[in-house]
Amino acid sequence: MNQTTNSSVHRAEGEAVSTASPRDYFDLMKPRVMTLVVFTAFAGLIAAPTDVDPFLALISIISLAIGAGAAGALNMAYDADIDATMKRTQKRPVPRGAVSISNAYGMGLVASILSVLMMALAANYLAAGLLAFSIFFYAVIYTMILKRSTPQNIVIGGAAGAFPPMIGWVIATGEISLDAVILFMIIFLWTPPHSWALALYKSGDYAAANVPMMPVAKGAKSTRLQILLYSIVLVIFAGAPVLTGLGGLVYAATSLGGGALFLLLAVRIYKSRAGEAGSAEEGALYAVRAGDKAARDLFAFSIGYLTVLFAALIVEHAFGAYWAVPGVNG
Amino acid sequence: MVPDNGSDTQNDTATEVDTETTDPALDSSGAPTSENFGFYHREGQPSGESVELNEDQIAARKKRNVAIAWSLVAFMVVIFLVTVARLSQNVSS
Repeated sequence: MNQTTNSSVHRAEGEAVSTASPRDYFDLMKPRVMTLVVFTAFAGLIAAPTDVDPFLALISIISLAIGAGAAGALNMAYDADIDATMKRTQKRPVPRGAVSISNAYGMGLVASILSVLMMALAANYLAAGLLAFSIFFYAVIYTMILKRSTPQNIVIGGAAGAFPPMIGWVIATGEISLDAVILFMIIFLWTPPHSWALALYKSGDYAAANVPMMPVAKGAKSTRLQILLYSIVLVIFAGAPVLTGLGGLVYAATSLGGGALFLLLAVRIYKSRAGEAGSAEEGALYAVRAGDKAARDLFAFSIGYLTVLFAALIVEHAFGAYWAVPGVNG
Repeated sequence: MVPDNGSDTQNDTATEVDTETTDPALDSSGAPTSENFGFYHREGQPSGESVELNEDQIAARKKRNVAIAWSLVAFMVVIFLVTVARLSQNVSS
């Protein structure tokens, strides 16, 4: 009888045991964000004026990707309550119940330590230090402090996402130069209009989760104006690599064309009533109500804009397509 | 001698009973005790399991274990290769 009772208890406990697959743990690392991190870091590494051992460069980039994924896991562990409330994030491994919060923390911490160690071995201590700081900045400063306390969360927290191209540069050169800071600033300035465009058409989600994103805290009209202002500063600043000689003709043309389209979409948002229709009905990333299309379009285009901008640097420096801009850096 | 023999026999019997009843893994009815941290006894041997897993849980755990094992192997290989690459760089410079 006792044995039967004990078996029942143990069987009941067994029902709470995880059925998480390795794929669930991989999803914890925000693979899409990792892709952008790897891409921008690679651009920084390629654009740097120093040759680097290809194998060590590969391991360094992998370390960076793991570090970014670790920060993502820590973010998902801490934000489990928010993610469970928001339609867009309800299917993440922690709110879905596939991975426990403590396991997410465990994985995030272990991966953080290993990635920084690998970076120190494969690249240099400065790159490892920057990686450690960017993980700390994203997981602690942004996720635990800024995100729930200020509408400027994404402006300051955006620095965490801006580190990868700088780290890529430092992997190659071992030092932080003006060009590395410029690459950092491009992503830093790109983050607010990109994130606020998403927040405009998902504002209901953020409001339900009590996250003071700009549209929730200051309203849609103010957010649309700030998107436009940040877009203007971003597009102007994106021309800086041409002035320092980091970017040549290909980059200049890309920056000019992409920037013009970015500004066009930002003006379109400013003139629209995006963000005033409330949250989208569906939880999908690009699902949107009719009035919010301008915001969705800028959000989608901003990803392409950043990708093309850094791809231009890669094309110029990796494939010998660099031609100086006459009269500027020629 | 006879009483002694009888006494020995009684003592032997008592010892056997004591062994069965004082086993920290089982209670008097043979069920696992709490002092055993809930570990099962199957055919008199500890199974090492504190909970009874269903097939899905066992399969998921196996997949996770394999993934962790491969990750550790990959990590060791990477550290080894990075060390070799670093050493050769230092030697050549």
